[in-house]
Amino acid sequence: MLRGAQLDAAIRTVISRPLRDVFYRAMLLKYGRDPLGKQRPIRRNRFNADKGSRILYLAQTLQTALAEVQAFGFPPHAVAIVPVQVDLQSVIDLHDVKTQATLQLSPVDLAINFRTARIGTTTPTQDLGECAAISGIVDGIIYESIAVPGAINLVVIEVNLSRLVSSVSVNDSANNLHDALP
Amino acid sequence: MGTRVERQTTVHRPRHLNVLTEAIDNQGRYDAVKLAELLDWSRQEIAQYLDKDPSAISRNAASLNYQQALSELAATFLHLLELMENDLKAARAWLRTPIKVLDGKSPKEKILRHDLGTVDALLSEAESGLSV
Repeated sequence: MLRGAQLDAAIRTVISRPLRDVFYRAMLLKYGRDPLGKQRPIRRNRFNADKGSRILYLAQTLQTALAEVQAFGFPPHAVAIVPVQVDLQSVIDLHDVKTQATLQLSPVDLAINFRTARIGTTTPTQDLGECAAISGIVDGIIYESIAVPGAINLVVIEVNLSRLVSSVSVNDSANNLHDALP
Repeated sequence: MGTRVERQTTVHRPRHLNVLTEAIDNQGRYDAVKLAELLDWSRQEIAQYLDKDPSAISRNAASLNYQQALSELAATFLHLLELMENDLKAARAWLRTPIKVLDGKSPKEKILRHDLGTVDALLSEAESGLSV
């Protein structure tokens, strides 16, 4: 598991690719008017530390987004799943075994549940997300959903969108829902 | 001279705060037994959370010594109620449901193992989006 300068160097050698597609973001319905979570507080998550970088979490399909909602175990409550158009320039793919090898990330590292990790520590994926944000050269990371093995998720590293001339947007005219980053 | 009519305003407290008053005694202290009833926990379970013998809880359920731990539990329960739109039944049910994001453990199990922070962090996480 790499950290610090070694991790930064590894990120700079990993192959990244552009990505244009539609992904989905799930949230409780009461936050539905803020579809890209611009007002959301930054809590620790799979690729960011508590109060760390602003990382947006998306699923490739509606079904995966819904399965991730269900993994929280909340009793039936209204949720919003919003299609998000992504136009990213530099996405690294953690499915790629070469990428995993370069970053020295094992399948176990990728699957660590940060929620059960000791408070005050960071997981390998959180280190990767934070380091990628600082690097300025990565605006997205593809990884596997824990809720649906084999399904694809995407995190968007918001801080690097401007620099890489990338964007994410919501354009749902039927619901008068429009927003964009950066 | 006309009669002056004082306009009265009624201030409604959020419903979830009203719910919590059921767990508070006349002196404003949290009562362990009443809080357990609110959560639909047994006396044994609240005693386990407080690391005390159930008999000690029965003798003095609102002891000053329990106030810190009880207020932290109450705060997390309030957080949950807020997220659940004040649905008490749903909140109770969620606490006892094993969930995937906690590796198949229930939030209640985590709390009884003195890991209230993880449950509260999970609720905060849900406010930021629902992604595993």
